[in-house]
Amino acid sequence: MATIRYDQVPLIIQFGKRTERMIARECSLSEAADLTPIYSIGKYGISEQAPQGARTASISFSYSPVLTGLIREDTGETGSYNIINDVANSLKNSKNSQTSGVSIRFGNISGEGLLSSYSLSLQPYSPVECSVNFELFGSGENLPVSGDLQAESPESFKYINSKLAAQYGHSAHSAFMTAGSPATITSSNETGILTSVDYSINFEYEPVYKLGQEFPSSFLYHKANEEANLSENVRETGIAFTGKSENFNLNIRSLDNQNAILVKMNEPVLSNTQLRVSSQGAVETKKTIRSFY
Amino acid sequence: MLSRIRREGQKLAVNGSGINGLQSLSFGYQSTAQPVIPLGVERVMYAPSSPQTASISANSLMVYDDFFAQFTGESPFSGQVNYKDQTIKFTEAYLSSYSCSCAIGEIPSLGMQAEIYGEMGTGNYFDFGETTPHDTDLQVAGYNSIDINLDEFNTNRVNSFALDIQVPRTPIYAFNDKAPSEVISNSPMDISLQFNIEADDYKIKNMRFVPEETVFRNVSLKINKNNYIWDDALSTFANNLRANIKVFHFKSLLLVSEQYQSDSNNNVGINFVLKGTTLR
Repeated sequence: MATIRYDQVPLIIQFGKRTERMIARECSLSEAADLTPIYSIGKYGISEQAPQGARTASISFSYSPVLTGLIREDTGETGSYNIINDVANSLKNSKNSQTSGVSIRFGNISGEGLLSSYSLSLQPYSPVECSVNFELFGSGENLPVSGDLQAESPESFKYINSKLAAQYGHSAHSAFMTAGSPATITSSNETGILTSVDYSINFEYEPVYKLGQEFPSSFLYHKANEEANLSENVRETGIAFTGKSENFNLNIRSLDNQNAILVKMNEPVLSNTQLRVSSQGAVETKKTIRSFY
Repeated sequence: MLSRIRREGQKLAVNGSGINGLQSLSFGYQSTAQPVIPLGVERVMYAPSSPQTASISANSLMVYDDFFAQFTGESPFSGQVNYKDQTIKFTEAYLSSYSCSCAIGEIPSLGMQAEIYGEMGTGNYFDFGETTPHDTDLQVAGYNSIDINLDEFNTNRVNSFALDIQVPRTPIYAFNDKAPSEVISNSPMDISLQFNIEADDYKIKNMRFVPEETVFRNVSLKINKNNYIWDDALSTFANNLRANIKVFHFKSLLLVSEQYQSDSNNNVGINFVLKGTTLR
């Protein structure tokens, strides 16, 4: 079998009627079987390795978020991209117990996945980098993943026809603010320099199993926790360990400053701070703020 | 008709003062735009991957005074380069290295490199008005007008010296800004002073001389005007003051390397390097 090159394995996700071709830099799929060896008295070795839980799979990838683009290949419709951010935002505030998955296809291998973690990293004047992990549980009799790994010709793909990544999320015009003020304030009301933002959210689900079926019949959404790790040049005093009862908004804008996506942290609380300096360097401070849903 | 730009068609001005004795000039930038090469997509897109900076470097003869040494401090400088009918301006340039050297048969020369964190290009970022020459009365230093005070040279002839000062800078960028919010002038500055001598009784140290026989040297370098005419009406101190272009005093520089060199056509030469650090 011929080796498959990176440009022959597109990563495509679908949620409802929306389709997004991910600008992914790397992707990995892993599968695991929950097996246990069966030993018995009077028998040398094991009888067999038997399943004690369902087979699971997970797919993780990192990507640059594109904020607008082609969302319906059949109709040529364009619109808001970044399905994952929308899924994360709606899920964390969801009051529905049951949740549906996102369809993921990677080199002709596909599966239905539940978003288990989503992170964003903003460094000075750089493209925004996202990482996600989906848990693929399968459903009923359906396996977590299906299909054979196959190369797909990159010629068949249509994508925004531009040489500059104008629609990509970029730190250039992005902001991290509370409702009315910068996210970094000192006791003397000085605004600090926020040098990087690393945001992440993790979701927890409960798969509902039925006897006689290997894979869960449905999933119940339980809770989410999100945090932002912020690096800055001042010692933050504007937010206390008890929080400040304000929402923090991470507003990511496209490189051409035309489109934006929003991540809203609901009244986060400071969970830890660090102050660090090393020889021949400048003092750096870091803090972590956390919200729970 | 073919045209070209010769040396007389260019000018470098820093903070409004023209730089004299310029021997070479280089400035430019390397774009930080990087391709985003995704899985399974046929097109390559470009996006800035880090803040953009530029750099400028220049070498000049030591004439009148040592113009660049003043920028080893915390202040940035702005400037402009004129060539033919073009004007390139730059702002927020921070000196990152400074050098001064001379050898027998040469005029002392200066070198500098600076990182540009502000702007560089044809935009009208500032207006110095008409740039003024730094000094029209050139007073050139020569290898014969240098005083070096170091114990080794009573019997060992100095062929050349080269001074290099590294000036570390740390830009602090906000994650959503293209220019640094501040530039820290870091400490310490590394100083390297290299001498080449024709040896007579110079004694090379034992390679394990640190720590038992660690060698520290106090060095002074005085670079005087080559064409200064001694004025008998003035005191020796006043004459020295007028004759002098640049004085370097270094205390307790550590001897860090010695290199013996010889070949069939030349006398024995020894290179040795002294290093030091200066705290801000």
